[in-house]
Amino acid sequence: MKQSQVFQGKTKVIFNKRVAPGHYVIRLKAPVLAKTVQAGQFVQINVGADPRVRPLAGRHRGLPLLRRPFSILSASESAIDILYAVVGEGTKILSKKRTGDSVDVLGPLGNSWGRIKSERKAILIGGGVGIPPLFFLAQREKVRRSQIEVFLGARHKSLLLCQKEFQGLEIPVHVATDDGSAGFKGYVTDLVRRDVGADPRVRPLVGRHRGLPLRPYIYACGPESMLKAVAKIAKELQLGGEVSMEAPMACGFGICVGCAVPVVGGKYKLCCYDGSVFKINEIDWNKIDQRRGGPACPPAGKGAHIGAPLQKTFIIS
Amino acid sequence: MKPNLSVQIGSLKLKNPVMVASGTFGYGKEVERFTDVRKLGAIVVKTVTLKPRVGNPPPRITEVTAGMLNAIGLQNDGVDRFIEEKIPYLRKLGIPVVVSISGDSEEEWGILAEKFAHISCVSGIELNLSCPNIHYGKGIEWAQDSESTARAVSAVRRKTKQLIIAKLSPEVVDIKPIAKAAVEAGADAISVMNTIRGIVINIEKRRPVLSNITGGLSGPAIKPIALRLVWQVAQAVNVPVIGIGGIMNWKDVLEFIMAGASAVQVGTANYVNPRVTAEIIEGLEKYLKEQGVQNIRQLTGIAQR
Repeated sequence: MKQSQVFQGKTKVIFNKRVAPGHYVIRLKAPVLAKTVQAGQFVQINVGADPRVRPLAGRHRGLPLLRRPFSILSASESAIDILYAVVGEGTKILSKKRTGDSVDVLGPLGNSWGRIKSERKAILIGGGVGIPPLFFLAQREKVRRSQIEVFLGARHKSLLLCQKEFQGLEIPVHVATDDGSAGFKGYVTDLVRRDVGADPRVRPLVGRHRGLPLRPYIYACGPESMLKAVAKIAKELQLGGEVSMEAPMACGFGICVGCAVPVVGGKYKLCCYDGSVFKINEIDWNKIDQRRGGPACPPAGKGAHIGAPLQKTFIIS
Repeated sequence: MKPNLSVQIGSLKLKNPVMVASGTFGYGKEVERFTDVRKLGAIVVKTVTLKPRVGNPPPRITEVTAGMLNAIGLQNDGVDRFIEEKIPYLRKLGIPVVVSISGDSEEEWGILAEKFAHISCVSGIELNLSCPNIHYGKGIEWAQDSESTARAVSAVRRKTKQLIIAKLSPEVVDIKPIAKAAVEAGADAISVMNTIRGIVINIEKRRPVLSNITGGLSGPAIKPIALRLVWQVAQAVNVPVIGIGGIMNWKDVLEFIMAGASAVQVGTANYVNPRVTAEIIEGLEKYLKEQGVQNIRQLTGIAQR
């Protein structure tokens, strides 16, 4: 992986605002990080203490010990934006940070998305808080906007992240919601299957059409069950692509060896160091569902398929 | 005057008492872009086994109050690839290198020790007698009784003149006879402690969070237990004790030294702050200066006197 310059230190909160129920965007002043970060990389944040609560007995009173990993929504010259869902103690504390507070950031970490080639269509498939790193990709790539097609999924229309932002980039956006409150009713992967796969009206998305010589290429990030469905579609339609994976991790830079991702051949790769972006056909998808407890998520249920937390934030404590 | 942080562990002189715990610092290179690895008293690399191990299925890690559980399962590429791929970098570091090894039989301990016996940059061998996340052929961890501990240490002693550190488990009724047995079998130092097994249940899924069911508890939560064990071992043996368990800062290091440790290993804290060991060394130096303590060795075991 690329051994880019890594920043570690305090960053000031420029703003921290609610963008959807339970979802926030935090902007951190981090010039070094903002200049080096690439789409698909992540940062590890030590959320520290709740700034509004007086510490009782220093660091040993049960504050989150480990950093929390977050994907990047976008970066300017001097700041990074992170879109996150409140899923546990760490993100709850983060959501209480206000302008002028500071958080300790380590990053950028991990690898990045492959470049969007001008010879092929890019199909971006995102679920829940898996959407932000895809937005960063679309924003960063200097390709014709018509060359990108975005599919977004959420439980409810209020949780469809980045829809307006994608539209602001003049990129076509297709949406799916579990309850049908916006767009296609069902999973985003079923929508992809319909639009990219079987539906004759949009069939031209696949193959040598629209003047592009190469077959479309998938970029996906979302809950594991969604990514597994994406992998199935990719296989059926013979499309190549990349997925950004998530795994419980302690360090984020390759030393704890905790964030194992099963790869073809019976071995494991590290989500933080070898990924988090992997080629779809690199992953051993049969092993993905065999996990015991799995990363801590809000109540599983069927609705958790889309909109379950994927921001590389795994702890509910 | 600059205070003297150097300590002596058997035949090995360390410029300061701060090492990293095996498995929490990779092989050094991974951490290079965050911190100057050369500042460490010694580097202890991730445990090496005779044959490659793929490690346990995920999830391998979960956080708990003031700590974390891990069940990695000694994932590594095996001793031969370690020597081929990692030793050249470690040699260039120019600091003492301690290789952590784990054998599944007396024969394996011996073979592993032999592999390193003539590698000049390897200053010491730490016997990981107590990994809680793998299944030993013999059924229990080596460090769970005096006799097994002695057999493993002897097997290594027969093959090498290098410094031998025996890393013990906290999961014993009385650690003192085990530490004594390790020393009698030829250990030059004792490191305590490894992690303690714990379980976390995901109540939504009604299943253990970790695929291995149990995982080793580390972090600030275990520090008082580690201090107690260091205290006991320091009383029982007359070789240097290396304290491990929940060290987050220089104050924690002083506690271990005052309890009887000659040196320490920092583990989980590296995950949160890869620069922590450098910060700890600075903190120790500042403390000694302020307190007018010329030599950190003067503080070893001072709380017991």
